[in-house]
Amino acid sequence: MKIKEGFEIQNVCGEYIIVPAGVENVDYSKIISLNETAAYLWESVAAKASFTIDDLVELLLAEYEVEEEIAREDCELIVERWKEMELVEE
Amino acid sequence: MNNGITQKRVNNHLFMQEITRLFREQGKKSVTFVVRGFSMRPFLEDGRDKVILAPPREPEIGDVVLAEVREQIYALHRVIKIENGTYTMRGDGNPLQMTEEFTYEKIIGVADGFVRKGKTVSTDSRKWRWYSATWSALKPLRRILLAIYRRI
Repeated sequence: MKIKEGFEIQNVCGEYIIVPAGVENVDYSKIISLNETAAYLWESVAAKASFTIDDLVELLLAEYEVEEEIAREDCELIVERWKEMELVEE
Repeated sequence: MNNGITQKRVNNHLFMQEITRLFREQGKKSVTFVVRGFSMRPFLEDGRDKVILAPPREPEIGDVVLAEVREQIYALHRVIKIENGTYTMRGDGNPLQMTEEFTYEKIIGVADGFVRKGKTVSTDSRKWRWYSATWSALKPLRRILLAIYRRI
């Protein structure tokens, strides 16, 4: 899967948000906020042509002290949410 | 994890700096966001409608401008007077004597359009011009009309 084009991650007032942003317009009326961990994952894979759940798990394990099984559950959950919000595509 | 849509409120001053940065450094042509407050009633409703804001330009009478009217106090109101480089604006829903003055450097942006009840209305559109002209003409009746509007 990959992250769709047209989204920008920003840190506004200490909060990570994803904003629909084209070349000309930035729309703050439909923002999605991310916690620090989700923002780290997003930033790590945003520019990639494609990534897998395994890639996300690896990224989490590299940065956080967490068991692999739990990391995988969290990554699956977040990908599910991103898909629901139509932020990622196959 | 939260599954619903929630409204996020950000610090106004920091948000204004962010808008300015997007215009100046990233060359964005517009920034869209939800309006807060009741001062532009009946056209714009708090938390429901959005403004499509373009970078600063010389406003004309009737334009809706976002400007810093006092230290870190911002307002999105309609320009009603321009005199010697000083602009005066007033919220459509505010009392006639409640105006704000500012100079060009205080302009954050000028509205190019609005999203009202989910529908985009450009400031070039006939609908917006009709609304603006009508509302201005109704001046003496505003208090009464607004009072009625609030009860609906």
